[in-house]
Amino acid sequence: MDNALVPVVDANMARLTITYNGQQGDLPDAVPYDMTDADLKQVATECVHNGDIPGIDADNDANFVDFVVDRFPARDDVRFNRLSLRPKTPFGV
Amino acid sequence: MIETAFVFDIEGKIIYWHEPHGRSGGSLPDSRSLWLVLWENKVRLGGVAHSHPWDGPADASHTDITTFSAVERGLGKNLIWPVVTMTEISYWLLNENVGEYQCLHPDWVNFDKESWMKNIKELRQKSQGGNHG
Repeated sequence: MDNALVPVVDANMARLTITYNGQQGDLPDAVPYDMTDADLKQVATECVHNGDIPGIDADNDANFVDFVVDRFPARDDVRFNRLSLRPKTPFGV
Repeated sequence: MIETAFVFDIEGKIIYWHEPHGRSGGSLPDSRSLWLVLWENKVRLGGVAHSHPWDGPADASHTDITTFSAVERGLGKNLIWPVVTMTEISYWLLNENVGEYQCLHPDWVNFDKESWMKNIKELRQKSQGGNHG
């Protein structure tokens, strides 16, 4: 990725990538990196309901129950924090 | 005994063996790696089979069912979710009419039977190993 083309994201903020219904997109605005999983899911739900995520069709039934958040701190080659909201994958009791 | 899983395509052919660090005789942990395999293969993806490494009915647990649902919402497609014990196999899928996961009669699973049962045999063999987590 060419970081020169990436909008500046404050050190305490993060880019949130959402995967839903076979589609993937980033929230247009940065979110606090330490936002709780529950709050991130609430933001994602409202944004998908409203069709605010480029790349993800609006869906009034969207819900992120049993989704999890992966957190990736900034590093040399990706100079901003990233959050990824994806389905959980455990099996068993 | 140790839980094991494999990802298969729409013809029942194995795409990926899932033997993550941290698995046990009763569970497979959450895994971003598994999710990435599912996402990258979503077009040809048929489902995920996992073992319950004991004898008896191949029931799906609450954890299993909620994972089925979350993954399908993420992928935007329904999958087949075989649960395999040492003696039985059940094929779980979403019945959209009632909104519940139910067992599919094995006759409706139209994979090549010989190669599919070879996969199941290998899954059982891998599930008999020690805990490598």
